[in-house]
Amino acid sequence: MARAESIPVAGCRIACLLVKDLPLAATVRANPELRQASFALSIGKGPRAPLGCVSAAARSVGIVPGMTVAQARAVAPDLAVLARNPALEQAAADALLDVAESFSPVVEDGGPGRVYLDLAGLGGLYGGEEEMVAELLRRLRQIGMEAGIGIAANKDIAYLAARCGGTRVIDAGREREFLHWVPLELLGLEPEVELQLERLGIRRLGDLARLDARELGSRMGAGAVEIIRLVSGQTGGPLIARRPGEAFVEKTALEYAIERLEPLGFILRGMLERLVARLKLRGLTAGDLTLSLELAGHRRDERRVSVAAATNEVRSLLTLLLLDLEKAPPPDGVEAIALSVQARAPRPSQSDMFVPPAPAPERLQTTLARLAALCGPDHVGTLLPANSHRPDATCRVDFAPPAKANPPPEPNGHAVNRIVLRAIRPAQEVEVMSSRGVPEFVRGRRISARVVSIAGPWRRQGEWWKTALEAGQDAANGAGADVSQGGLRGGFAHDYYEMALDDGGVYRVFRDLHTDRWFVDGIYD
Amino acid sequence: MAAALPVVGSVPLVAPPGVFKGRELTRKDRRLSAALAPLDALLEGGIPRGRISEIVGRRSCGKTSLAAAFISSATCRGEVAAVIDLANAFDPATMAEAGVELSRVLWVNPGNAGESFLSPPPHSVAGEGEGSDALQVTHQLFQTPAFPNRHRSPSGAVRSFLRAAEMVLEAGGFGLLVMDCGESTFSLAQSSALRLARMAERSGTAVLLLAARPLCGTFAAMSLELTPARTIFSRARFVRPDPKSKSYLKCIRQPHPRPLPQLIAEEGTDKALFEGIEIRATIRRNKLGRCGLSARWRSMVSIAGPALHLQAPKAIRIA
Repeated sequence: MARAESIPVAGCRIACLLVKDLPLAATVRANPELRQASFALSIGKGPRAPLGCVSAAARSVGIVPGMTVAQARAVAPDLAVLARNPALEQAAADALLDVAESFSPVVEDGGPGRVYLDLAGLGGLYGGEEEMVAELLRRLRQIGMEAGIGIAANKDIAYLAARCGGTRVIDAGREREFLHWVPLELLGLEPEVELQLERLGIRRLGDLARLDARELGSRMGAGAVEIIRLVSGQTGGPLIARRPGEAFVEKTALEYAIERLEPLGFILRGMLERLVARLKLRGLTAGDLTLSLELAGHRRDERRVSVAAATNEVRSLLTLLLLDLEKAPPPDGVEAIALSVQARAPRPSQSDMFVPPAPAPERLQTTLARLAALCGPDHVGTLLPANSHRPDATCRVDFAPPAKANPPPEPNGHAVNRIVLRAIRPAQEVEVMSSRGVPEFVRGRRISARVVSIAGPWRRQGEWWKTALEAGQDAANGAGADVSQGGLRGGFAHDYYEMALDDGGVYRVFRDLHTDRWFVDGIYD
Repeated sequence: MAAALPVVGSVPLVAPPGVFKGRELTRKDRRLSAALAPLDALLEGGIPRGRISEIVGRRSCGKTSLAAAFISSATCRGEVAAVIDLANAFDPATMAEAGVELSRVLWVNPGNAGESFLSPPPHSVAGEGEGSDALQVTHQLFQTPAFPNRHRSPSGAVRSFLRAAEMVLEAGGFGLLVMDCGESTFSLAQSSALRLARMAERSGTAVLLLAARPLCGTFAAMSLELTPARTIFSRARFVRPDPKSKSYLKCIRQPHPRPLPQLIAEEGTDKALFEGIEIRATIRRNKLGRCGLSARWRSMVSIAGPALHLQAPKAIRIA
């Protein structure tokens, strides 16, 4: 029999991350308190639903997959039974891929719970293979998962090494020795084939490799030939690299509809923590959030929560989500949640020796997110004058100070500075008493003073292109136009005055020409 | 004292410049200038960094204009400033005119604490209702608010005000933090003032508190009282501007409303014009220097003189 004498592809090192029971691992990842608990996952609901996966603690008391929930409860009354949650499993599989992609640039998705990564050239970054294994285990712990790790010369051997459990590094040149040792049950053969081989006294791959491939194939079929090819190192093709994932989504399906904000916040916190752990692995930060809720009655609620400054602080992100939910609560109970985050790269910064120190970008972003959570996203940022003829129009943009400073102005040697207005938002209506068209007394809710000096009027008008509806809304706000008066179509028309009153204040007061009402919109201070 | 200095061989050890001893985290001589000559002379270079400075005074006393001068000075040096605006009174247009580089100013409005004279009294029912409109929960589900006290009351806004200031100081790297209390009449607990003072010292940020009356007590390094000495109105003769000229366009875009062509019916006649306020500042408290000194300056609508559409002013009349 012509058989390859050695395992090929010298110098190639492949790692396999294998999560044996992905449904259990996904459940534990979402509910860390179940890590040591006795629990099982049922396929479906009700006492007759069969158990699909059983934790090690439950297995030790005699619970096995295939039992119904009622049977399992009869054996172990304190057994926790959860419904299997495919959304959680998908999120766990994605998290496993994130670990691999954070470690190596060449990653192959080998199916749910199985990932291959190319270790070639990573020695300079992480050190030897033991250090790589330690680093992979640390990253797996970071996302709350445990996996078997195998490192070998090709994918199949690495997979078998990972299936052994724990971590197993097969040194170059010792693959055949390992393969000869591998028990047959690790191959996952069909039960009939496995039983047949056992009857022949074949328990390890090495026993099988001694047999003639042609004879074995004629008796036991193509499966046996595949095993022979595996032992001879003729399997295990190159890695098929996947594009690095850019979507960070955590999903969960709830066993019953949630109708209150507090428990929903509890679940969202866990999802955010898992998302942030994944982002940290990839060296990214969380930007805008998209929350999709499946509601009772086959309804959906999708909302996008903007995050002013990307951050990985869970508390701030959760507060923003809850603020949004509180403003516009879902119209019905929530049955499933999908939370996705737009990943952003951390803002790079380069300090300059000759400019004053500025807040560190990461700390600034975290602070901005916390401030937005405290005060609301619309109340934090940079306030700029809007592109409008209204003197009080402003717009808010996200705070992002420029890196370079303008040249400093010439020092003002004079005893003069510019006066600044304190805005009153919204403008407050006042009553103005005039004599021969000249204001003489101003009276409002908390103002009552004689006019000492006055300048004006200075007319401002514009936004005549506004629709009647918009103009009506402005009028309702107290400072806009009334389309029914003055023959104007909308917009604003104000006569501004600067009035010094005998209470000591200098006010900016305007008369709305459409409604003939007076307002105070600022104080010179 | 030279006698107290340790001696190595025959050379006494002298502390190199920039090294200071003791528990002081920020040096007293690090100041933030207002770029306003009389005030800088009064304050021996400006307000101290790493300390709380208060500017107190009643309405139209010039405290916001003075804060703008400090913000302008900081931002033009390339520093980043933060304004915690309790009264929601920050006017970006006039701030930009005062030389503030707005892109370097972080504005935070922690909610309305019932500022000023025109808004409803702080503890009135109407005031609470206005503040909580955005957070009203109307649906029968999700009735438990996540933030039961958030922005529902003036005291909640004041708490957010202080918390926001602490967050800014914690972040570090800000050259100036302006805490604008408006005309709110809340009292600052000593523990809060102490915490602010310690955080300011740790971060090295100059903290400027604008209030109607002193709030920080002994924890403020400096307290400057402003009073308006006089209000300046002038009389000027109007001429019709050329609508195609750049000066006309500049005129109609400026935030202080000025005459437009349709208003100049009385062309050639004299009209009153608000020019600014003359301000008197007195140091009421100063841990780092002398108290009781005063200075005067003017806060003007236009430093360069009357607006472009005016002929030379005939006279300045003091109101």
